[in-house]
Amino acid sequence: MPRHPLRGVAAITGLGMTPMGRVFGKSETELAADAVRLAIADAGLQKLQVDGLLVNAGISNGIGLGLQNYLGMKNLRLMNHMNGAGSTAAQMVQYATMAIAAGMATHVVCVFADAPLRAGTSAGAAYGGAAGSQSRPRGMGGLYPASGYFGTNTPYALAARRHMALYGTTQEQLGIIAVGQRAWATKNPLAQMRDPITLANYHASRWIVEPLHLLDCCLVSNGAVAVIVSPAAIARDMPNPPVYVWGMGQGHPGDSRRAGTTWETETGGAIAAKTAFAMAGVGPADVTVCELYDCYTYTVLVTLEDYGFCRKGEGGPFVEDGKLGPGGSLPTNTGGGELSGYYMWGMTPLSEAIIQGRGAGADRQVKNDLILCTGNGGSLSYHAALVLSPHRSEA
Amino acid sequence: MTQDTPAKPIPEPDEQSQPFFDAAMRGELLLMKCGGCGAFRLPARQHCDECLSSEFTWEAAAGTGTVRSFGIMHQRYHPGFVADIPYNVTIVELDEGPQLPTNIVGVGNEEIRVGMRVRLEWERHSDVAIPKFRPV
Repeated sequence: MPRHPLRGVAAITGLGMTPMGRVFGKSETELAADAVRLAIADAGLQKLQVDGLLVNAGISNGIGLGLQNYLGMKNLRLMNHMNGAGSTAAQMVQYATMAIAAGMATHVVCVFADAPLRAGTSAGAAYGGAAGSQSRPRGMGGLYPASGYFGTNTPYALAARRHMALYGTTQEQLGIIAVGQRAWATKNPLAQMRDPITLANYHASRWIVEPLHLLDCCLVSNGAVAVIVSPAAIARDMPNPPVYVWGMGQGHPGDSRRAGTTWETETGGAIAAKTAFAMAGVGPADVTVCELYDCYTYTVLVTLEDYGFCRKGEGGPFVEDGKLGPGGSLPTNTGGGELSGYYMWGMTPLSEAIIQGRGAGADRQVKNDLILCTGNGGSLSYHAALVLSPHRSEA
Repeated sequence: MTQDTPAKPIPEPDEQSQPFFDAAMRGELLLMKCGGCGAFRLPARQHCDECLSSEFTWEAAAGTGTVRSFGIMHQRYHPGFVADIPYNVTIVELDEGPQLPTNIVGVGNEEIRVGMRVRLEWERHSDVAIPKFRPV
C-alpha cells in the first residue's frame, strides 16, 4: 500500500500547560495566554513566528476569536474557533496538519481553556445541567427534564447499562479501569488525584447515576493547555523531540433516537479508527500506548472495542487482567487521564501523548513507538483520533 | 403534597408539539409520521431527519414498547426531584421505533431490566400529560 501523503508531514513541537484543577483567580483568556506563552517557549519560537491559531473553549465558553488580539497575534494565516466538544483537541491537530501540508500555515498553536469551577462550588454544580432548566421547558424536549433526565452523567450511565445488559459487562470491570488509571496518576505530578485507590474504594464511592459511581466519572478542572504543530521538515531542529502525526481520523455517527440507533455501544471511534490506522499504515496490534478520552470509565472500555483491541462486547474481559494499568501489556491513560489526572477535554489525552512521545514521562514512561490518542464528545457523539510517534514516518 | 415540595419541570407545548400534548390530555399517544419516507419524528419538528421532508401526519401509536436503557439517579440536579432520589431515568423504545425519555412506574428500581416490555400511562397535570411506562 502506498504511503499516505499526509503521514508524517507534521509534528507536535510545543506543549504548554497551566496549573490545572481548583485554580482560581484567572479568566479563561488569561489561562489560555499562559498556556500559549508556555507552548511557544517550549517550541523555541518567537510569538510572531506563529501564523496559525485554533481556539477551543470548554464548558465555560470563555475564549473565542477575540483571543487573537489579547495575544497580539499579528501574523495569522490560519484561524478558527472550533467546537467538536471533547473531540476538538485532536481535531485541531488534524486541521493544523492539513493546513501545514497545504502550505497555509507553518506553526499552528491550538489552545483549550476552561474555568467552570468557582471557589466554594462543587464539580457537579459546574456541570449540572439542571440549573438552566425552566419550570416550563418548551416542547417535547421538555420531556427530558420532566423525567429527571439531567446532565452528562445520565446518557453515559444509560450507555454503560446497555453495554452491561447486552454483553455482560460488570461493575467490577469498570472499576478495574478506574483503579488502573489512579495507579498511573500516582506517578504524575500534574495529576489532581494522586492517592491510590482499591476496588473496594471504587465500589464504596457514592453513586452518581447507577451504574456510574463517583469514581467512574471524570474530574472537573480549571486550566488551559496549548500545543504547537509544525512542519516535520523543521521539527527536528526545534528544542524538544518532535511527536509526529502518523494518522488522523474522525467519526460522528449521530443518534436518531429511534430503533436501530447504536450510539450507546458503537461509537464514532470505529469509523475514526479505520481512517487513522489506514493513514498511519498500522493496526491496533502495533499500538504501544493508548491515551483515550475517558470522561467515564465506560468510555475507555467502549473505545478499546471500537479500535479493535478486542471484539465488540469483549471490552470487560479485555480490561479485567489490569492490562491498562502500570506494568500491563497495553498501558492506557498513563497520566491518570480525565478520571484521575486533569480534565482538559481532549487536551488531557493529547498532552499525555506528547509527554510520552517525547520520552518525558519519567516514572510513568512506557514504550512510545506508536501512540493512539482519541477524543470523544457529546454523548459518545463526536470522535477524533490521532496516531502519533516519536519516529518520523519512513519516507 | 406539602407546600414545601418544589415543583418539577413540566413541559409547555409549543406550536410543533401542541397536537402531541392535546392528544396526551385525551389519553392518546400521537406521533408525527413523515409524509416523505414514513419515519417517525421525535421530538416533533419541521424536518424529517431521514429524508428532510417537511410533510407529515399525526398518527396514533400503540403505547407499548421496551426499555432501551435506564439509570438510577442519585445526584441532586433539580430540587423537584430530590424527594424521589434514587429514581429511575429510562429511555423507552416504542414499538413504532421512536425512543422517549421517561420513568418506569409501578415497580422498584431493582426490578427494571433492559428489554423489559412496558405500556404507557399518562401522568396528568393541569394542562399537559406526561408519558410514563409500567411493566406489562
